[in-house]
Amino acid sequence: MLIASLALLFLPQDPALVHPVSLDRTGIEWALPFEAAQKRAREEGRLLAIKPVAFGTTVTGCW
Amino acid sequence: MLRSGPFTDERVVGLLNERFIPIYFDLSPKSPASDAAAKSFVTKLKPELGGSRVPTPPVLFVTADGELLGEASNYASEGEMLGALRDVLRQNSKYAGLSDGEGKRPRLARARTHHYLGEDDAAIALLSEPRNARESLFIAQVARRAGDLDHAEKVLGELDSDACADDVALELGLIAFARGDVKTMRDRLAAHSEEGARAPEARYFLGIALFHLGQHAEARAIWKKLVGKHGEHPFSYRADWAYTQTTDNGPAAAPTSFTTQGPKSLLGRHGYMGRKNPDLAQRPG
Repeated sequence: MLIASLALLFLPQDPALVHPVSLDRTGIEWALPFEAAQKRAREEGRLLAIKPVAFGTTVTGCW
Repeated sequence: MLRSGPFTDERVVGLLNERFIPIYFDLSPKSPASDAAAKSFVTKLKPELGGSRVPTPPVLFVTADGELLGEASNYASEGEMLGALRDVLRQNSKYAGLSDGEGKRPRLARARTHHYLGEDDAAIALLSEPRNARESLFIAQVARRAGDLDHAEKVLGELDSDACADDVALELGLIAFARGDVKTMRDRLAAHSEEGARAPEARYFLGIALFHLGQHAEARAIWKKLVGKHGEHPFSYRADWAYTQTTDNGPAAAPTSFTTQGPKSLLGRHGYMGRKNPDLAQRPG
């Protein structure tokens, strides 16, 4: 069981399942997911800046 | 286009972080960046984004309750995006206030925020007696962006700090570019080390200098190496943009249409729609 768990830790993750924001290097502090962003906007009195991407994100976050 | 354009500008990134709650998501439910709640929220504002074939979505400036107050094109230049961010804050000032503790930050951080908001007089007033090289460097940046190149150069010339040598080399390179003096630009940027926080920017603009000097293949080699080394950095995207619009013999012919067929860019993109890389345009000088 322990060995199986350790093996899982070291197996490469399927890049298609990883949110591309983990690779983002823009310096923008993206607020994800949407519910969290909306909650923060309400609490902090800020506007949301929402960028919808038209079917364009790749596993590297490119859009 | 945003990554290769506006997101290479620290003022855009700074304003998004300090005065907005930025979020992105993919409209496709199959994408790892999909977000059903975001899509539902956005398609109420923009029903045209709900189909399977949609126009390129802009950046939307929206209240938490769903009131659309402004937008900026996906193809906006750095200046256009900065203007859109500042305008929506100016017109909706209740959303533009200081964050908790913001007024207690070091004065250079407060000056930067003024600069991002377009309040350069307030930024400079805060730093009227620069206390260190970082503050002087920032004053030079503000002057350069305002077009006061002589003052920017004077401030940098008075700096005597090895700790900022790379920043000074980059700033002097950008001043030379603004003057159209690409030989000096090349010499200044060649002095920048290959490491450091702003190395991707320095290497990108060194490529731009070489391109304008007619050393097209050398320029493209620098951009290719930059993309390979710095991956997802915004200046990798800007280099990728320049690379796709050039050949080893000069500017590439403009594509007549956008296609998902054929070769991809260094970063695996199908191409860059919307506008030409402005750094490749001839400068006066």
